[in-house]
Amino acid sequence: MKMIKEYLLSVCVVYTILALGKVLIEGIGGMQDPYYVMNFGILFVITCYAAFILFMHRIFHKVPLLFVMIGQYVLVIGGVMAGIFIMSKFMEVSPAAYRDMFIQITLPYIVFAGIYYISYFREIKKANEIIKAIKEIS
Amino acid sequence: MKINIYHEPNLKENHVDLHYNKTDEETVAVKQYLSAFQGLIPGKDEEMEREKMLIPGEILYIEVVDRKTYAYLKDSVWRISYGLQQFMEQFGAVGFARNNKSMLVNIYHIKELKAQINMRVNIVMDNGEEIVLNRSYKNEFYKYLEKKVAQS
Repeated sequence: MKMIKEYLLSVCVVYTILALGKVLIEGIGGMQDPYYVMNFGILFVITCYAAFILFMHRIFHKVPLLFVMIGQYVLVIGGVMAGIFIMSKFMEVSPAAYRDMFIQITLPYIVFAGIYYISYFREIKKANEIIKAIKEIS
Repeated sequence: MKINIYHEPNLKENHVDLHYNKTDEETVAVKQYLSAFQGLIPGKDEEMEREKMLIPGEILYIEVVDRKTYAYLKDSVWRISYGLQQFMEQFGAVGFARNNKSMLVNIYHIKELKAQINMRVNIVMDNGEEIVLNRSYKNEFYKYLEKKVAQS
């Protein structure tokens, strides 16, 4: 139950950030999205899917994190590309759709993975300082 | 087991004597319970022949293997009759923190934490042994360290 709540909360937060980002970028750049409603819908589906894949890391806690992150990226990008491919069979899809989605997924993923990587080393450094302090006191 | 309780106002020092003719589950449990008051943990070697009273502070880490609990000292291993949760409840304050599902580590015997290339964290003990800090217990472990340093 706790995991479902956390998942739904993550979807809400991430979707809000992405939707606001899209609106802001379009507003600043003076762009008009001809498929406004559909793109918001797709954005929501992708957010739900990506959040689900990212939440799977809890199940694979015995697998090295680096492999989990790479595996999750492959699943997210693969799923989205497959989704675009299926959609292209039923409706017209922009020729740049694959490239755009690749950039829109890869860039944030690399940024967040980088932040996580930095925090991982900072946590270890901090813990080592605490261990040193505890030993000196005792 | 027959239990006699005597209230003796003139007694110089409170004490408990345990009289038994053979070691059974009941006596082991009572001995274990009483030894906790002395801060000692009864341990047996792998062959269950030798006995030793272990001081919690000298234990590097505790591990459960095949439902048996072992206490690892610098150069020896002793089987103890505690569950992980039970041990944590009684001796957690001494400096034992959970590092994975089946282990407790004594933070006073940690040399350092080491980052691995695959983003795993290894705990290097004073005797050079390395044990894994599981991702699921990472936050709990770091919080425990912070709590300990704040207390000391």
